[in-house]
Amino acid sequence: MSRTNTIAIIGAGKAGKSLLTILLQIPGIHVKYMCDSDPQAPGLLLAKRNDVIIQQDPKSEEILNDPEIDMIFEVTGSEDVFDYLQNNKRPSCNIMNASMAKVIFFLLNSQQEVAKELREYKLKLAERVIERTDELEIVNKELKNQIEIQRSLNDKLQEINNEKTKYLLNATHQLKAPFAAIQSYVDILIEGYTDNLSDKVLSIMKKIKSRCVLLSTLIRRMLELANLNSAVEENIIMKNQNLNDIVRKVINSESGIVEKRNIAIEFTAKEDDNSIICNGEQIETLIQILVDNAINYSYDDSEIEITIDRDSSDRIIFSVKDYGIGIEEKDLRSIFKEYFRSYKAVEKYDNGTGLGLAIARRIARLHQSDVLVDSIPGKGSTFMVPFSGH
Amino acid sequence: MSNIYIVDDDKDIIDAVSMVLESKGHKIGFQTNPEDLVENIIKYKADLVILDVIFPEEDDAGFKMARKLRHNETTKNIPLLMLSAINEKGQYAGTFSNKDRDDVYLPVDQFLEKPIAPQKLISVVSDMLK
Ligand SMILES: Nc1ncnc2c1ncn2[C@@H]1O[C@H](COP(=O)(O)OP(=O)(O)O)[C@@H](O)[C@H]1O
Ligand SMILES: [Mg+2]
Repeated sequence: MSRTNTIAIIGAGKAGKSLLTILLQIPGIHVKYMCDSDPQAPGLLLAKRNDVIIQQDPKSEEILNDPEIDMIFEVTGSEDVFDYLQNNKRPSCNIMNASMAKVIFFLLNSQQEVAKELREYKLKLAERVIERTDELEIVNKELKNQIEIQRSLNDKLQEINNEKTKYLLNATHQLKAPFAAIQSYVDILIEGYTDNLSDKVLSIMKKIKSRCVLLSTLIRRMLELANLNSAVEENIIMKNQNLNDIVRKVINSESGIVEKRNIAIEFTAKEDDNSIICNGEQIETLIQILVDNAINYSYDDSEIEITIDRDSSDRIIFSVKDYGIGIEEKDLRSIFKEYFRSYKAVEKYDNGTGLGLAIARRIARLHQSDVLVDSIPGKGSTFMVPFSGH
Repeated sequence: MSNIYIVDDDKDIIDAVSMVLESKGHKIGFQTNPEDLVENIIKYKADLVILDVIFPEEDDAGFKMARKLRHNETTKNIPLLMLSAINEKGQYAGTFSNKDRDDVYLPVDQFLEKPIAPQKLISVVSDMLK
């Protein structure tokens, strides 16, 4: 985030209020004005409590002429207001039309900014302790100060994270809800709840359905990745969980497709207890992605071997081996890139998003691990994730 | 043949669910906002209620409605089916499983993520009506 200092928010509805909540948390930012023609707007109360100047007119001259203002957020959703502000602001003042997407990205950035600051404070703290062990009393006082600052930064981070999660969920819902309606109607037509369809119409309806499924996976994956990319390790809830249980759950969820294509999934775990400290939901997503890929890129009537093993340094190694299309040498580096899909993969399975492995690798790295791959084109692939945190 | 009552802000979802359930001979009543829900359901003599979660003015309106129904003597035993575009793994993770805390425990009988496949809806509803 650039060093924007003084800000005006036009619009005090839900979006404006969220934005204000965040901005109030960020060090070095001062929200000077908040503006809404509706005196009951939810953001105004919060503004009042934080000594933000309240204005009624969204095209307020006072705001436009105030030389202190570096940035105006327009969140009324009115194009007319945005155009007016755009045309009448001072040249040095930036304006952002904060649509949902932009607010999300803004929140993601601010979260990273605060996380960075937090890390810097932690470093400083460590240096102080080493530098001045002789001046105990002074050090003690400073320590207390630093700890206080660190704690408040931590709180801020948590609050930003909560607000961001709320926004992402909101966006997910806004995008998914209309789709759900479309998909339900398509299902109703395909399954003959209205009239019987001709074969031609039916085959087109099925194509529509498959595109709907792809699009909703894509939406979910994109938001998942945005969420993970902005995730700060301090915010992730880690618990002790048995990998065996997570794997079994994932395998169960695949029973339908596996039966249809006559693929046998074999799971072997050397130990009954393969517990690691992890975020269970994230690890489930990671395993789901690798198992999904193994299924999608396998031939019918083949086998998939999932194992959880220990290596010589007692790390827990999760691996998925398939006997499918395999990956060419030249593609091995690209497969982890967002949206990359090999031609062969598209041919085999046309409902992919190219986001799975990017998400899987990000999750692995948040757990101090990585996704490793070994493959022979035309013969099959093995994906592995080593875990040391147990 | 049962009376099924749907509350969803999306008229198209109500339409789609109705088409599917009417094909099995059920009668459908509905409303698109949380107003007077308990009264309406009593009047309608609902055998099963289908609730959406997120409504335009309130992100958890569906949860509040579920609690209201559970706290009313006449409606507390009516089976509740919750439908949402947001799945159980997301925002409301844990909400369905924490039976020790009344404030976060949601007493619905079933939860399905939208879009719901017609066959699945029919089988879940018929199980719940048993
Ligand atoms: N088990 C596998 N066998 C063969 N190719 C794979 C396998 N897993 C991943 N790939 C390759 O990596 C690419 C990216 O995978 P991924 O990110 O999961 O996206 P998607 O599967 O949606 O294409 C795939 O398109 C495919 O080319
Ligand atoms: Mg809704």
